[in-house]
Amino acid sequence: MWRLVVRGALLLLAALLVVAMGARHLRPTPDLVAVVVGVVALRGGWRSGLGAGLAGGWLLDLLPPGSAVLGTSALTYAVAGALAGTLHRPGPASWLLVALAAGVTGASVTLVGVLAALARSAPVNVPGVLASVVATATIGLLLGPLLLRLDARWARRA
Amino acid sequence: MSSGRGPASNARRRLLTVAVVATLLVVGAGLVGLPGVDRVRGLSGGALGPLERLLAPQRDSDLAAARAERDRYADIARQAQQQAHDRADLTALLDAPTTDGATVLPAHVVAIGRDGASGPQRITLDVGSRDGVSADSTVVSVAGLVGRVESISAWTCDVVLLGSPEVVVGVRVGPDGRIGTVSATGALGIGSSVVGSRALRLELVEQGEVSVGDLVTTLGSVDGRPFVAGVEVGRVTSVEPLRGRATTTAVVEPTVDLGSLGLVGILQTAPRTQPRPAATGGTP
Repeated sequence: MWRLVVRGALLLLAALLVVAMGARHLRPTPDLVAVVVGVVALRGGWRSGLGAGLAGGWLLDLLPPGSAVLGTSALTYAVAGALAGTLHRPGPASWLLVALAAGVTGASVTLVGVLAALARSAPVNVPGVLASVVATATIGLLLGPLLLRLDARWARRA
Repeated sequence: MSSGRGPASNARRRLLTVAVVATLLVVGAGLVGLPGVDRVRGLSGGALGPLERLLAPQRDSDLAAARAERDRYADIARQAQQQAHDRADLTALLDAPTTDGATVLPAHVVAIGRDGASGPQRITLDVGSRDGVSADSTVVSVAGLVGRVESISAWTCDVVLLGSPEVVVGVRVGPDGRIGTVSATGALGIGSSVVGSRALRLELVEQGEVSVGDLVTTLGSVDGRPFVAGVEVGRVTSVEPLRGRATTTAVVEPTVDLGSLGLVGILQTAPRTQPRPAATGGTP
């Protein structure tokens, strides 16, 4: 139970930071929600990733300014989390694997956005998109191991 | 969690399935435009908006928060500097042609939504229904059109930006005032320079002369909602060859740099209450 609360708090903090960083014009903006979802997926497998992605996506859907259609971010992050969950292995995860999980989650979410833009022949900011994915993976590399340890500690306490 | 087989694991699995199905239903309701979805947005804005205002870039009101005594003078100096900066921004906004003669409600950007593939598509401003904001109001900056207000909570409102899939603007182009529409949809493929920029697609209602450098301004809507007339949208940067098409299309570069928005203005227009007097032809 407490582990779920901690994961929820981390997702809320990540979502708040994403929109706040945007308001401060920090570019490229790392997808911190994808980092948390990637870490949860790496620890718990595809089903945990799907659940964390759904929750994180809903937070982004509901946190102003939200998304154009409510629930679309939730579904996108859920699929991305499930994908990242396929990287789940028993035992401790390496730093690179954590960064990969965050990168896979961020890249999957971004890919959906790019495909949606291409479907309506809208322009795609390719350098911006790539920079955002790299920033997400980098933050995953830096923060991921810390988040993994935090999650493991709460799991032991539970 | 993923490999458990006990009753708790089964309950979790069922909960996850229900959550996914519920999300699919909400997405479906949103896509078909069922009422009630916007209320959810308003409620979440009311609950989470104040959190965002706390995390927003600091301004004079935020500086009023208690600080340590040794930082006090530095804070006062920074406050004066910020107020001067805000005043300069506000003066520039009120002097801009886009706000000429309009009632303007100044607002600061407190949150920018997760970037789409083409860049930011939605922002949150620090004013809401209690400040007199109403839906479908035009949002402008010193440079021109920013977007339109979509949903409102008590202290914040969400703005859909020019270039989002939901925004299609009726426009006038060039000195002749040719009528057309501007949107992001279909902008890809007009020119290779489109990739990597926030270029928009201009489509005239019929064939007509459009030149590079032509100014694009809003056509205007009934009662000025969602867009008042005459607000600068952008300039034509390239014109697509006709190639048998029935209408002229071109690429428009927006005048507003959405990546550096700070202070914006919400144009407040009231519905017309007086009937328009008829005029007689041939009189000076």
